[in-house]
This record gives sequence, C-alpha cells and structure tokens, in this order.
Amino acid sequence: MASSGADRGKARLVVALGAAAVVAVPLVIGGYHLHLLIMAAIFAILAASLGLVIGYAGLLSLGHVAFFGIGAYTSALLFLKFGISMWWGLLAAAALSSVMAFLLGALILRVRGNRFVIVTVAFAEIMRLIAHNWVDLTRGQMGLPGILPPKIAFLGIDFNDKASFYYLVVVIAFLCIWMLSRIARSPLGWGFLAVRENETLGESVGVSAYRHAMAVFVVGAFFAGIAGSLYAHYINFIAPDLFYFSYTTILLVMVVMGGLGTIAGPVIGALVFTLVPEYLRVASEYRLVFFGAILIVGILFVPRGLIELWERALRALPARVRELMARG
Amino acid sequence: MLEVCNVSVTFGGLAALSDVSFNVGASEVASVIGPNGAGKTTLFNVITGFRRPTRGDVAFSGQPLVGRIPSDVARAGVVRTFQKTEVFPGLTLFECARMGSLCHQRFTVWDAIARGKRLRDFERKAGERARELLDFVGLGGKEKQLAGALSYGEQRLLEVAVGLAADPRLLLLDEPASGMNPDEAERMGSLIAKLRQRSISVLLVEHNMALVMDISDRIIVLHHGVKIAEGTPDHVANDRRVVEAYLGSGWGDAQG
Ligand SMILES: Nc1ncnc2c1ncn2[C@@H]1O[C@H](COP(=O)(O)OP(=O)(O)O)[C@@H](O)[C@H]1O
Ligand SMILES: [Mg+2]
Repeated sequence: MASSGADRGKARLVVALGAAAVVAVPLVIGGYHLHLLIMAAIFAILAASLGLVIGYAGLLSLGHVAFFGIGAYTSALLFLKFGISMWWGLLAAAALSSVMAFLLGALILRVRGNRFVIVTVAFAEIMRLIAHNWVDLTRGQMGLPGILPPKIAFLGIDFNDKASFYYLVVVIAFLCIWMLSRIARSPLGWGFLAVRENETLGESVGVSAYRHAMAVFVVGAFFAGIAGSLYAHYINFIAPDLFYFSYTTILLVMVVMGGLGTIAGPVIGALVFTLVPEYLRVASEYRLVFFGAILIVGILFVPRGLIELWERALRALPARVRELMARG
Repeated sequence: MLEVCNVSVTFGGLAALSDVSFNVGASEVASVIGPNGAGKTTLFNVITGFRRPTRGDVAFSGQPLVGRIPSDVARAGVVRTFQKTEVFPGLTLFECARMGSLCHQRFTVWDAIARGKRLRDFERKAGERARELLDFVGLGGKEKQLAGALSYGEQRLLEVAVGLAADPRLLLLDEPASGMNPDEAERMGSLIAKLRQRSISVLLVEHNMALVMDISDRIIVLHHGVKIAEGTPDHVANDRRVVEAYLGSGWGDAQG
C-alpha cells in the first residue's frame, strides 16, 4: 500500500513534468521541429486506434489507413465545397469513417481470420482508386489544396499558426488517447481480449465475438477519421497516395514496436518512429526498407516493444529525481 | 429444464446422432457416456449453438435454443466446456475468470468512456466473483499467473471457473477429467458434486467410470449416435445392451 502511494506520487510527478514540457515546447523550438511533433501527435492518434484493433482484439487490420483517408477526404471536401470548418469536419470525418467501418465489418467480421486481413487491404486499395478516379469530386491525382485550419474568431485565434495548431493537436490527441485507454481497460475491452485470445471460448461464456469485433473495428475507424481530418487541415493538401500500403507498414511498425496490447505503446511508437527517421535523415526512398528492417529486428529481439523500455524508465526516473532532491 | 427432442445430426452420410431425446432437471447431474465417436461432443455442440441439428429441437426452460449463436445460448443459462482444453492463454487467471461476467451485462463504447456507476459496480462485482470462483475451483492465490502457463490439470479447473463466471444454470462439461491423474480426477469429481449446492445442473461427458458412477443422478448411453439406455447408474451398469456395446467397441482401450 505504501509503495502504491509512492508510485502514485511518482506518476504524478512524471505527468506534471511531461505536461510542463509539452506546454513549453513551442516556446523553445519552432519550424520544422514543431512540424514533426504535430505529425507525431497525429500519428499517435492513428497508431493508438490501430493498437486497439490489433493489440487488444487481435484483428490484423491492414486497411486502417483507409479510415484515415476517408476522414481526411470527408473533412477536406466539406471545407472546400461547403466552407464547413474543421470543427464540424472532424466530427463528420469520425462519423463517416465509423459508418464505413460498420458496413465493411458487417460484410467481413462474421468470418474473421485470413479473409479479414485480405479484405482490409483490398478495401484500402479500393478507397485509393476511388480517390484517384472520381476526378469530379476529388480532382484525382492533382489532389485537394487549400484545406485551411480552423479559427476561433472571437478569441482571435487562427490555427494557421504552427504553435497554435500544435496546442490544438496536442489537446485533441490527448483526449483521443485518453478515451481509447478507457475503452481498452473497460469491460468492453475485456471482450476485445476474448476475441484475441480465444473467441470460441468467449462465445461459449456469452461474449459475442462479432459484437466485440465490430465495436473495436468501428472505434478504431472513428479515431482514425479524426486523425485524418487533423492531417488534412494541418498539411492543407491531400491526395490519393494517403491510402498507400506504405503508410500501413509504418503504422504497423509504430503499433507492433511500440507494444501490442497497450495504448501507451503505439503512442510511444508513433513519437519514436515519426521523429527518429527524420533526425537520422533516412533518405525517403530507403525509409520503407528501414521500417521493414526495424519491424523484423524488433519482433525478433524486443517482442514486448518499446513500452517495456518506457515502463523501466518510469520506474527508474523518479527515483533519480528524488535522489537529486534529497541531495539538494 | 433442458429438453432435447429427437435430435439428429448427419455429416455427409454419417449419422453422428439419430433421434436422441432426453431431459435434464433442475440441480441434477446427468452424464452422457459412450465409446469414442458415439456423438457426445456433437450433442454438446448442438445444445450450445455450435452446430445446428439436421433435425430435432432443444429447449431450455421453455426457450428454444436451436438457431441461436453460442453467446446467446450462454445468456439463456447454458454454458459448456470443451473436450480439448480451451483457456485464454495470454490472460491472467483473474482476467479469465471475470470474462464470463460479461455474459449478462452489455456496455457500449460510451459507457466505457463515461465510467458510470453501473460499470464501476460491475467491475467490482466481476472482480470479487472471479476471485471467489478461482478459490472455489482450487486456484486461489494464482490470480496473477497467465492461464497459458498453468499445468494441464490446473487449466481444466480454470475452465470450470471460466464457465461458472457466466452464471449458468446448466453447465456442460466435456471430459473434464480426461488426462488427469486419479487425485486430480477426484478433485474434479467433488467440484462437480458441489455445483449442485449452487443450484447448477450438470450434463457431463466423461470416460472415467468411477467418477461418472459416483456423481451422476442419471446416465444416458450413446452408441453410434443412438441412445441405447438411460437410467440410474445401477440400472445402466446392468443393462445388457450397454455391456455389449462396450465390449464390442473395445471400450476398455479407449478409456485411456
Ligand atoms: N465436423 C465434423 N465433420 C464430420 N464428421 C464429424 C464432425 N464432428 C464429428 N464427426 C463425426 O461424428 C461422430 C461423432 O463424433 P463426436 O461427437 O466427436 O463423438 P464423441 O465426442 O462421442 O467421441 C464421429 O464419427 C466423428 O467422426
Ligand atoms: Mg468427444
């Protein structure tokens, strides 16, 4: 009991330090570095949502990027055609991604397994082809430019400013990840685990595999849609290559290397694998090779993922902080 | 309580079950015996919604079960275990044993995010119940171990706890003592006998004859998918057709 109190103290300290760091970041860095952090936060939402689908429910969805793309296009088109701001676009993106996931799920989630995996890949490819070929709506390969970030007029905030957008994306990412964590550890989340571990046994004790597979698939798509909307309004431009399989590979690296069966793991994975390749200046044409190699090495040598290193750090760091304080 | 009515199952040309009928009453321990391939597991699959019968009906407390999916059958109060051991290998015993609590309560995504009183109460009760059930089957104190790391005999006990968490009124056990040493088998036997005190009926498939004779109120004998006898343990043990069926099929070898 005493140690759990101390742990809670430690955790609070870490959270407080972390929050202070997150708030201070735009004061210290800017430009390209800030851009990377914004991308990392968007990827954190996307990776965490896929982490719920793959890591908790064990559904190997290789088409998650499709829901990201659907979200991006929904939000972008609402803005460009009707002048609807990101505030509503974000919700519409989440809603449409979820509806698409529901429809796809109704088709394929009764029979899971290999067929599911293949259909998810095909689904992402079909979405890409639609974005590519429905030129009247999407301008095809030319893409959609001019997707502006939102404003809060009466406060005089324009999220076109990078630092403002950074705060916005951090708040939204935090909320999304918080919700995903709550879902993951709720009784609904136990049901996801039953699907992953042994759906036959789950069924026999009253845990419907279909219902839980559907729930996790739709929730995953919902948050992927949010990430897509944020991406579109941040980059201001989207094109059909959003749906490429290569993004799925990068996402998988973030999720698997971050740590399966956790939400924090994919979030850490997203931060690490957005920032590290940039700072290591891995040339973009080799980036996929780089990610592929990491995935293989990681699966072989760090099966529990980066989350394991993080947990160790959490245990070790505050102890050192306390030591320093005791000395001082 | 359970009414199995003229159930037949054919696989291609093979009749796995032919016109099988019987009932199981409240707080009764009934056993289904018969040589390997007699159709016992198929019968369980039919009752619990894992397989549709070619013909016939199954009802529990008056509700029809045929055509419902297994999780629905469990919600009606009928839960089974499997001949081949089934656990949630990557979960702790605690997580395994509370899973079945989900049988009778549903939570939406919104419930999960809001964490209202109903959900928190449910979590607490499911946790308490999981601990109680692990104690009940003799796995108390091992809550934090992974199910996949348990010994075979312990996994079979865990299966009973997992099933009981769904709060069944009828528990179907498919060879729960198979592969157990005599000590473990005896423990399983007394565990099954204790279910009666919890007002849970049991339908048992088991090759361990000592165990079956000891705890059954009634025995149903299947042979090539046909019910050839039904009655008290004494009655069945002295039935000429039963003895013939067993001698004829090399029952002694299959007993393992
Ligand atoms: N899925 C199936 N497909 C074809 N035949 C099956 C299937 N399941 C069981 N059988 C056959 O049905 C008969 C009864 O099997 P089963 O119910 O497993 O017997 P028991 O549990 O009494 O040993 C056996 O002859 C078996 O080969
Ligand atoms: Mg069998």
